[in-house]
Amino acid sequence: MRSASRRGSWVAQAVVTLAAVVFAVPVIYMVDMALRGPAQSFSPRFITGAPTLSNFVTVLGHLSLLRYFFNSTFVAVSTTVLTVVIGSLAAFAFSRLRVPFERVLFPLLLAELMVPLASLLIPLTVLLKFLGLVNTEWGLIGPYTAIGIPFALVVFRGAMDDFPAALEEAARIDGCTDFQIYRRILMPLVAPAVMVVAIWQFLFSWNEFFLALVIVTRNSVKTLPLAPLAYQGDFMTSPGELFAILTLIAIVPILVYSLLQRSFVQGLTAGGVKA
Amino acid sequence: MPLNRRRGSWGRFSGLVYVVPAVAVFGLFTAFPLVENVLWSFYHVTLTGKDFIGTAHYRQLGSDPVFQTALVNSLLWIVLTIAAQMTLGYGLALLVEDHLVFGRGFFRTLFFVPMVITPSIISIVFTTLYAPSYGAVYGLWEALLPNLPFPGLLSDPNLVTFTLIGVNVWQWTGFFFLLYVAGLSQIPVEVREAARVDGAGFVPLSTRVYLPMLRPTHLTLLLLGTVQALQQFPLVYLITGGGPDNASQILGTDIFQEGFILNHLGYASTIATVLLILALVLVVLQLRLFGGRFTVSQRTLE
Repeated sequence: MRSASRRGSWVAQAVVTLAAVVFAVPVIYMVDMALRGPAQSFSPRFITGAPTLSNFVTVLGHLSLLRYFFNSTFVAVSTTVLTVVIGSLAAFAFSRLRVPFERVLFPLLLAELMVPLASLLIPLTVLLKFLGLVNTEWGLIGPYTAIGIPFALVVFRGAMDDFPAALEEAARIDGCTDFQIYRRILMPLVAPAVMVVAIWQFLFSWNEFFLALVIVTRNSVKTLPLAPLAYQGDFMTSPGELFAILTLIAIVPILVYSLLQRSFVQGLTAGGVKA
Repeated sequence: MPLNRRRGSWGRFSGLVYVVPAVAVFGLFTAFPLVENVLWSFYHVTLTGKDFIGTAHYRQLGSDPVFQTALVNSLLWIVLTIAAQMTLGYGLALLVEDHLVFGRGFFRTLFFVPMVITPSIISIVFTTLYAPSYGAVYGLWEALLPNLPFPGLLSDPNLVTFTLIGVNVWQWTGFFFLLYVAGLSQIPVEVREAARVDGAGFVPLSTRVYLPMLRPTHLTLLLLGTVQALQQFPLVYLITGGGPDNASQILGTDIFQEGFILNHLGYASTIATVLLILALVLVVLQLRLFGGRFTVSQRTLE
């Protein structure tokens, strides 16, 4: 393994640590603001003393925050499941079966990776209005899935192409259907790719702002990225409470990512077996 | 079921069912609006109907200073965010992967954290950090340089775009870093050992050995970074709203302003078409210049 070739240096350690501190400043600042009492709220100091949890106690009384969490979870989970399923099915067909117009279709689907959302947002909004999906969760889930599919396709196809056709020949002779080969043989093998796509898609739909802003105006449907805007007005005079809300919102994806970080990186680097 | 047999009577259609959902979602939510958008750019569009006006909107672009500022700023965003994120991401990845004494997993997680925080939170935090009189950056400036006036990071038209680009770099460096981590982990140990035995130091090893070997990662980041910069919207919209006096507009915020605030749907579609063409031209150009492969973690696809 690689560890054998590694030799640490304290200079590198110092440089990286310094960079990490600089990168952490906005996050530390956010938490510090949330812990300040009213007297220090507008102090230009980076860290003020005497932290208090009173802001958190106040904002936890605002149950409306829970609704945003619920909406975001519903949207992100649905999008993630749909993207993984639809993306892997299509990748399976491109990797293992025959698809009509494959040589046009595959690049066309991939090209979507390079399409900025803003370049289709206006007709998309009108379309969603026409379909009655404005101010519904599905008005977000549909487009988010469409946006996520090309990346899923790249990752899944790359992973599936790594395995030789001989792998499923035997299963085919034993009478396995295409779907059984997808479900029982290939999907378990590409589990690391599933992790990458799922984590990426979850984070993307959890944090997406632009489409949510124009599609959702009703409070009961809003997702978390819209929550700070809703509260910003209310807490103009008490930034401590606003920052407590920001901290509560940010902590969830940070925790989730910290727990899954290893699988995400492993999934990205998997396939190292292949030259 | 003949459908399931590769060489059955369905032959070349065996995979069709499996791609139908992907194609349907793509067609409905991407391809259709994309085509509509290009069509609309030739119409005067209102909620009740639309009139064909030919290329009038495109000629209007020539006399629209806000669009021109937005276009220049967007190009600036592409160049500066990619340059900074690549340099920082690559440098940090090299140090973290090869030269740390301890804490590799911790730093891998930490540098990616900004990527998992929603832009609306980032916007409020940075707006407060940079605020005159009560922001922490102001506090630091007062402590270190009490005799110099505090620069209007978000209020000076000449500075504001760079300040915003800085926020983007803060958020996206972790993504570049992680893809470089993935790329580096695929360079065979023998290569690293051989280079080390030859006595290559940090600088030649990282510039002459790793840099060319990571070519697929560079290209992927170049492409994704271009599109990311072109689709930026929330940071600018939330921090400055494109101001002061439209100085920090980018294409995304200009489209939003024309389309959703001023209700100029046709004209907004025109700017959106320019954005689309710009993205496609840059992507094709980069593929031509740097080799026609797109990869995620060294896996190449046509």
